[in-house]
Amino acid sequence: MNTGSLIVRNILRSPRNFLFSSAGLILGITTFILFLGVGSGLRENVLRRVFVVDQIEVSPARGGLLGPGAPLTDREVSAIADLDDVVAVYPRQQLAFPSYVVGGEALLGTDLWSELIADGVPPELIRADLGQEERDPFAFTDWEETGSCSENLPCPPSHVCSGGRCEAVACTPPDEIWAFADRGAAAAHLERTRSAAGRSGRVEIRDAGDDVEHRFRIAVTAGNPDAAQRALRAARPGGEELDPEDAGCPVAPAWCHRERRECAMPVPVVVSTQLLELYNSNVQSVLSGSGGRLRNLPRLTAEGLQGFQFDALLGRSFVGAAERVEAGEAGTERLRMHIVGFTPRAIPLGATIPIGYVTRWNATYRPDRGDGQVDSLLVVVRYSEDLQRVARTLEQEFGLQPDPRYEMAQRASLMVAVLIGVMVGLSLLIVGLAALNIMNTLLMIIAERQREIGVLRALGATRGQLHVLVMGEAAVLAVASTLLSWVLAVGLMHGIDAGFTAFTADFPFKPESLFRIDPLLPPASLALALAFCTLGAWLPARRAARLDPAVAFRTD
Amino acid sequence: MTTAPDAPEFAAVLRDVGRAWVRDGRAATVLAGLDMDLRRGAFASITGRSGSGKTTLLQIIGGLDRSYTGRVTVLGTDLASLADRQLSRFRGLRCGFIFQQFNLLPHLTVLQNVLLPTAFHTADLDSRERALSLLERVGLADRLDERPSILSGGQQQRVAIARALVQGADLLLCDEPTGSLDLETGNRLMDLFEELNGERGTTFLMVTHEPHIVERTRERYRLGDGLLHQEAG
Repeated sequence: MNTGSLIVRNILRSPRNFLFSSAGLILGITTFILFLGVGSGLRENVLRRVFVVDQIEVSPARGGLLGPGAPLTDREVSAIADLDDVVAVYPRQQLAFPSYVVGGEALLGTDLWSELIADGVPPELIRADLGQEERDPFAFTDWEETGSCSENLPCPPSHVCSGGRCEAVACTPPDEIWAFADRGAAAAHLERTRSAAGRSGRVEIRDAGDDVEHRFRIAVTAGNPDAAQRALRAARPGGEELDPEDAGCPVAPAWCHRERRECAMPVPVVVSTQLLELYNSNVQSVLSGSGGRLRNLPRLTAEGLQGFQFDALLGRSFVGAAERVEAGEAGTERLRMHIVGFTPRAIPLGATIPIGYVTRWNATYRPDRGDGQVDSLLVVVRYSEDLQRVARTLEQEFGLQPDPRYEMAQRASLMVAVLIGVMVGLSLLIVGLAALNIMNTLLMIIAERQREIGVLRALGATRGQLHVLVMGEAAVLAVASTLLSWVLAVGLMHGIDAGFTAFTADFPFKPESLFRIDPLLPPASLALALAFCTLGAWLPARRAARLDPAVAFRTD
Repeated sequence: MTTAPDAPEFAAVLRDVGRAWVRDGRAATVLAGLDMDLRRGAFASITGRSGSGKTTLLQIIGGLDRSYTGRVTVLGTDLASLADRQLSRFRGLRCGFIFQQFNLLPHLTVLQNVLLPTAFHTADLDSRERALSLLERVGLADRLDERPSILSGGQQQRVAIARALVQGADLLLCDEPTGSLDLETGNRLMDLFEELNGERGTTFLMVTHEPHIVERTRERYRLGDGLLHQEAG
């Protein structure tokens, strides 16, 4: 026999009393868990996904008449990176000339065109975020700058290491074929290809100029290489002797650069997690209700989009030829890009690529811009609570202007904090009332057990031991109530989530669950229950300990 | 009196003990300059009319009532010198109480009731063995797992005796131990008391108002006018 077994036996002898007491406590703790769970869910869904509250984008304050401010210097960027509470700084350089991207047929069933909005950021920071190795073919790496190679530093796919340098493998673009034929046969093939390519393609016949066997090359430009290849295949007559030679590059994701006629790595792109969410919840949802050819757009996932390739045409706007950059200064260049990851550090709308590409392209297409000019900074802080202080420093000491989304994020953050505060206050009120109920029940029980307490004193129980007995009953009640509360709360969470999923339409950032269980919540709920039970049991325990043991001798 | 209070041959030595109550705003004296020398191994009774202070005296000797004047030495220990914690330990290990109404805990089994004092202070590790042996001694070895409510009054009082002795108490303080029992059951209980007194040398001090119980005790005290008078045994 020990004190613990006495506590348990005391509880079991009056289960109704304890059930009644625990009901209030279970209600309070369940409310506490649900409210904090939904609060944490709000914080996760709204503040981390919609407004990413541990980062702020700043740019040089506008000059007169809203002209651009002075660009940021390397020294300023370093000084900001050295600030307390700042864990990373992502300098950004904007793509400063018109370009467009096209692609998506394999994924969406139809090609989409869009103006290319892109920022360049240091690739090592993004790679660190995504946990990528520099030479992984699907890493966020500036492949144009990876010239050196060794046993431990491999070359990108379709490149060979020669004399410590990576050399691209020669290739024939897959949207071309060589035909051994006379000019008449080539012309007939050209017509068939043109017909297959339709309006989307430009087909041309090029004279290879071979004196011995006159070879003609047919090249197709049809939106993207897939469409061009389809056109070539469709037009190729069965049995005709055509030698396509080795087309393309042997190892993915390398592609055959048309102008250079050698393999190149696609430009890696990271996309904002928010953009994917916007596509799924807005673009896809809206277009699926339309009658157009985009009505069958699928929902996309980050995993499904990993490695997705599309073409970019630098130097030409999607809007039209009129937007083309001055032809004499630079021509256009077709490039391949592929998606290598999703991160909140990417620009919200557009593509984020390694800064080296942007710098080189800007130098080619916009030589008037400063070389390596940083247009904005993404500053990431250690804790979201530090953001306001860091933002103030950036404004006041560096003269930088926060992105308007920062203000919205601050407001949202405040609203969530207030909401969580109100909800926690409410649950504390319920638990407090439950504690009063527990106190009442225990006082009642102690009044009923006066003689028994006197007997325990006569048998040697100290005041402290009697105190422990009563407090122990409250502690067991707290633990049992917390366990039951969790069962109830988790059940309710599942039910509410199921109802929420079933009965609400899709909307941007619609969460899979409204709740998020913080790892600290289980111990916090137990601590709360124990604290309030202890509080409620204190007076009854004190009363029990001070009872006159002579009551044991009463004969009534 | 010349007896040294802590003399080892005495179970309880009381000197000039007084106790007064305040009832309905008026002070009432129940014990007034009471002296007592109870030898170890005594088999004693205290009689007196209702309200004479018999139970109060028992509570003072058992360390349950500390609002007395004078000096109370029990089993060689001056009770006034003990803090509450030490006094509880003293009660738990050296004194046993037997109540008129048995005072068994209804939600515990017979064995659990006997072991109850060991929840607070443990004399040694053999308490369970001793409890089983005591229950066998009082004839309840086959009722270990039963609740007190299904036992007869005599059986319940025997459980209470085993509980009082489980820690090896030297002194048993009994308040009307046969008060709730019929004559025959009461006599059988007294047989058991006598046997235990003889076998173990346990000191018994019984408060009673039943003459046939008094007749079976060797030392007889009568409480009257706040004083204790020893009568011929």
